[in-house]
Amino acid sequence: MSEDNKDDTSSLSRRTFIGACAAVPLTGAVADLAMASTADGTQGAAASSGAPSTMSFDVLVVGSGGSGLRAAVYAMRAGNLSVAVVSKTMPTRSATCMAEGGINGVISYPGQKDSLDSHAFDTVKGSDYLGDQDCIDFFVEKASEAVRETDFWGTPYSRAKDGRIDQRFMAGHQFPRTNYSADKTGHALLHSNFDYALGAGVKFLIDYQLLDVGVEDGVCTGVVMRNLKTGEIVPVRARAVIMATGGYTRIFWTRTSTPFIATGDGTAAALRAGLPFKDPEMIQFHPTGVAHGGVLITEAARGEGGYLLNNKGERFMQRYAPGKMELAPRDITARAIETEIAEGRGFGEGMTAYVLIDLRHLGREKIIERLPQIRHVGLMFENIDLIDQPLPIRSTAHYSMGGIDVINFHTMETAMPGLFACGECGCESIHGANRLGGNSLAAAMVTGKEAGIAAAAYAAKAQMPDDKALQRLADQWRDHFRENTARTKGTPFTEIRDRMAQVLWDGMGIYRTEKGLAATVEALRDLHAEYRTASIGNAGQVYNSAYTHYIEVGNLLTLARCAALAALDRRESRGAHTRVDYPKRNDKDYLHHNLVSLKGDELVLNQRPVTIVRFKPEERNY
Amino acid sequence: MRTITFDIDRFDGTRSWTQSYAFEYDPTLTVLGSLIRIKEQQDPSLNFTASCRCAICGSCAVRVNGNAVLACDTRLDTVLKQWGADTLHISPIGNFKVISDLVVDWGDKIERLRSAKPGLKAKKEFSADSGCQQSPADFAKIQKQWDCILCGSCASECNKLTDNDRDFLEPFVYTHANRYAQDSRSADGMVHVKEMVKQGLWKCLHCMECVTKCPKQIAPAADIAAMRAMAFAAGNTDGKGPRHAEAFRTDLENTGRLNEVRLVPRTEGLIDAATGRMGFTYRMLKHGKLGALEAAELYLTDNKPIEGIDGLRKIIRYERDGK
Amino acid sequence: MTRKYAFFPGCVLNAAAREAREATEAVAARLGIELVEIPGWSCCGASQVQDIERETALAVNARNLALAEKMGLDVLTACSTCALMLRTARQELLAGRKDDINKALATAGLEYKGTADVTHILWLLADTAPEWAPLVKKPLGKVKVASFYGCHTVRPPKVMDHESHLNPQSMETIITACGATPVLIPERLKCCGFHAVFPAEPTALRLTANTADDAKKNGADCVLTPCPLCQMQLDMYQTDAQAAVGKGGDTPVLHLTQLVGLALGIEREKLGLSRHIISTDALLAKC
Repeated sequence: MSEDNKDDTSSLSRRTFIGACAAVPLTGAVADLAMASTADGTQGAAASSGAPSTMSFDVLVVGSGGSGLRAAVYAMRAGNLSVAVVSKTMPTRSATCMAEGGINGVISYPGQKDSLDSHAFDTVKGSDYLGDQDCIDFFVEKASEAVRETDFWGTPYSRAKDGRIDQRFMAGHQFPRTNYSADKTGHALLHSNFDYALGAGVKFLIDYQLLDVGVEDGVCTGVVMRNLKTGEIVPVRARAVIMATGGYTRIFWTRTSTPFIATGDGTAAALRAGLPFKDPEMIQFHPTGVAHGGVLITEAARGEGGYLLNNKGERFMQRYAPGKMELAPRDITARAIETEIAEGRGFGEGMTAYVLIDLRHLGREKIIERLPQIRHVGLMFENIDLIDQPLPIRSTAHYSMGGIDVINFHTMETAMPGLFACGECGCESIHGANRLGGNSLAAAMVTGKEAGIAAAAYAAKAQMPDDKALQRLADQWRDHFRENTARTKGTPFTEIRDRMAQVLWDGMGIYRTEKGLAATVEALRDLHAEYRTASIGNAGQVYNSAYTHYIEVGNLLTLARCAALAALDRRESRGAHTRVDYPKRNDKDYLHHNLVSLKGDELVLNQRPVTIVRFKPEERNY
Repeated sequence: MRTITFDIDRFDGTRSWTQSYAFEYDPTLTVLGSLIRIKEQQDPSLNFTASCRCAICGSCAVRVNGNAVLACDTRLDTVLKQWGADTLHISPIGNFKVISDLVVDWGDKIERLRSAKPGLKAKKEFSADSGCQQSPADFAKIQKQWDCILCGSCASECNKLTDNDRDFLEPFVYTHANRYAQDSRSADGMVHVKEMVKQGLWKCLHCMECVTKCPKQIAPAADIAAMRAMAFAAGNTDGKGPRHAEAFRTDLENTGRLNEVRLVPRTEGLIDAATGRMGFTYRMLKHGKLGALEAAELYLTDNKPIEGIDGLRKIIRYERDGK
Repeated sequence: MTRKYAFFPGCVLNAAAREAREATEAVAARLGIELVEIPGWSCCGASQVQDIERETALAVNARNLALAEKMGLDVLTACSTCALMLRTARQELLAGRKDDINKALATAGLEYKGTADVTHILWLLADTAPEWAPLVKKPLGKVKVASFYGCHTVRPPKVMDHESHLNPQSMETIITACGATPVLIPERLKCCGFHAVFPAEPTALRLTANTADDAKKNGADCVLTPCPLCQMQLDMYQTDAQAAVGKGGDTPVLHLTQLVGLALGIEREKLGLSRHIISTDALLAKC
């Protein structure tokens, strides 16, 4: 029998093994390694003394969405560094894959009328002048580069006839500058970056949950993680840590379009480590998500001519935007829907109240041909076929403009040496009080790359920190697991999560008032106290997802408290932040970023002025 | 009240058991919605994974009565009707190591994905600074393969993997390789194909489970076939797989039909076939499955060409050369 | 029952699976199904040609379909891979490839119009079971039959859409109509390994042994399949499989039409049952 008649039992696994080793040139082990060499070839002190060793990396990226993967690739490209991406799920489950529209970036071609200046102005105006203009200038230039570079790395972009990347118009832009891949741009970018990271040899630590950031003398020493597969709580030393853990709109739990896993773990850990949370009150709402669960019904539904109806069967947009009707901008439409529900013209009550979107008049063929995805979402979430019936919808939280305070947008560094932040979890601030469509993927690509480059440069010079602070934290977390999972009585924590969402939707949702926000601050404090005595319902070690989620809910509560405090203090309306009692923007008193820090269990609010360079704040009209 | 029962395969790291959960029928539920309801209302210790809940992140593939589905994208009603029963068996997707309950381990799968040599190595005329050029038609050629969400469904019931995963890869790995192999921006698509040839490309059984199970309607089997064609066209015709396919093609053009007697020696080589298949051939002759004379004749003189063989040859040549 | 089809035997029914052809023709004759062999039909590519020259395979099957259209009949085949190849080609042609491929057919003076459907004898027999069940002369009351559908009989379901690919019942319908008892085995919808018997022989042999062994363990007297390729694999390679894996080795494997033929009282010689590698004697003793 010749070779291929035998089972090939050895060669594949050997090749895979060699590939994996080559992927981690300095660490030299395949999976869940307990020890890693460092850039200068030394090994951790604990290992050489025979004590239990601590995992260590030169650059550790927490989070595996678009920005995290790109950061990891750029850290690898610096050469001679051990780089790992840690993720609480398999790497491609992040919010990035859900982005549909596209990635902004001005591309030059014969006859191009668009310019970087124009993209910068639109972004500044879109941010309602809360974006930092020096940062935005840098961003638009790098966004253009990122589009060309990801094309070169393999992102499959839809094409114009002449072979260049095709671009589409998105709301708030003066020119078509949104590069896209059909209606799956985020998915295409995420997976092409993942592929590139695999090819570049980036190591992945899958099923590890971030618990805390270690700090010694004000310097980041690494992170404490929980190995979900075993339940072990492990300190991980790192010369540089890049936070890329995404946004925190899950504070609204069932009324957000983002994935279950987007629970702001990195932002909360950074906050506990002493860093400020910038502009936490700035959360973007999309007007149309399904009533049960908040999954997005994209603008295409209204763009193709769908009607919004209240419980009287009226096209209520007549009252709010008689000219544009259902095609009014997102914020106006979102507010209109909430007003209808608040004034009793919606259906149902509480978190599952809704109005309807009706496509029936478009006819079966048009729905099948032009809106198949929306029809599918209706079938899955509401068991409703839009061909025959209108679909219950309501506004849904969509994007976190706020995030970990980044103090240098060239490097994505924070005020803590060794800790960097990128993507939705960082705030530089590009998006200010409102993000434009297509700028989220661009920001992920730009900030991820700069964080990767800067973290690698920093790691190359930094000492490998010792693990004392990490060991202390790890011990605390081991106690935390034991104590909290041992409780058999108490409110189920998922109930607290749902109440948090309700409190936030009512008090810090699309409409905000002094009274409502003050009550929200109080209610969140009580919920946070009750959370600490809530029951988890599982004391197991192996993949205890109830405990995982318990920690996530704790993070969300912390972040929600910051957001409510900042929202209470911002007595103006700007971008996504709508104060019924202060309907106008007030540049005299509020042209600043809010910075919320944690001192003990108390929150402290500070301000920092916005950087204005070329564009003087003016009224934001479209 | 109509009651639905999920018999769920549990695993806590050491112990395995099947646990029954009954819940009230609700026509609005998906399979994922049902699992969430069980976890939050009955048993917080039940483990599964889910993230986007709208069929783009790939987290929540599970088996329903032994067949992989994306839980968020599958309505409970659909599976109840499919199986004609109100009790369903829920288990983790197949051909994966199980971590706990419905949670599977992706760690080694990612290492296997590296063997597709993922990531574009673009042609020399392109650069990171100016990007690439590609026609809309060439983009369309790779668009479907890029829909892969890495949910693992294609691997779950793959017959080849279930038998032996040491000389074959998960179907999604081949799809990944093919999306670079077919990309007009690639400097050399064969880089990916050659690696896949080494790693089981010709060992696919054509069982079509991957094509059937992909929730994104990707056909990994077609990606495998496309890379086989590329490999073959590039002259990688050695090995039993290519020689077997070549024998079919040759017969098709020569006589219009397969010559089964010649097939074995052509695939395996005359010596191997004669020595390795002696017992087999003896049994075939002994039981009258094949007449000795008939076999000899087929071996020496081939089938009689079919009626209209000239037309058939014209068609084949038109497709191969004439276009 | 008067039905008329353009018969596409496929290569194996002409050679190594002659028994299936003989049984198919005998059963058809008994049930008044007229099978007219398509003059000049060619190999369907068997998924092998499709692998290396996709367009050639498509054009060749367009030719097969065009020949049947000239007869004004739908196509019937007793082979699952032939059925899948022909139906796949038909679907692709009707989904926009017709004009293109017709240029190739024109070189041979043919044109594909898209009128002829392609069906499997399994589906015909299952759908008409109530009509022919009364013709069963020798109900197989003592026989326990494990169905083995074969991959290409049900997958991919977009092409092989006659019944549920997850929970098909056509084989059981027929087994029951023959008076026999269906036995459900875990291997029922699995792969026999035929299409990779050379490049992945150890796998193919294990799959073969698993099915044969499973059927036996579950008390079945034979395995029944609607696909001659599965039938050949499970019968011809079962001895080698037994030698390699250490299980299976004596489970008779019948093509669907052979069992129906037995129930209809057709003489055993006409069904080719004596030419199986795995002896059918014990089974026949129960019939």
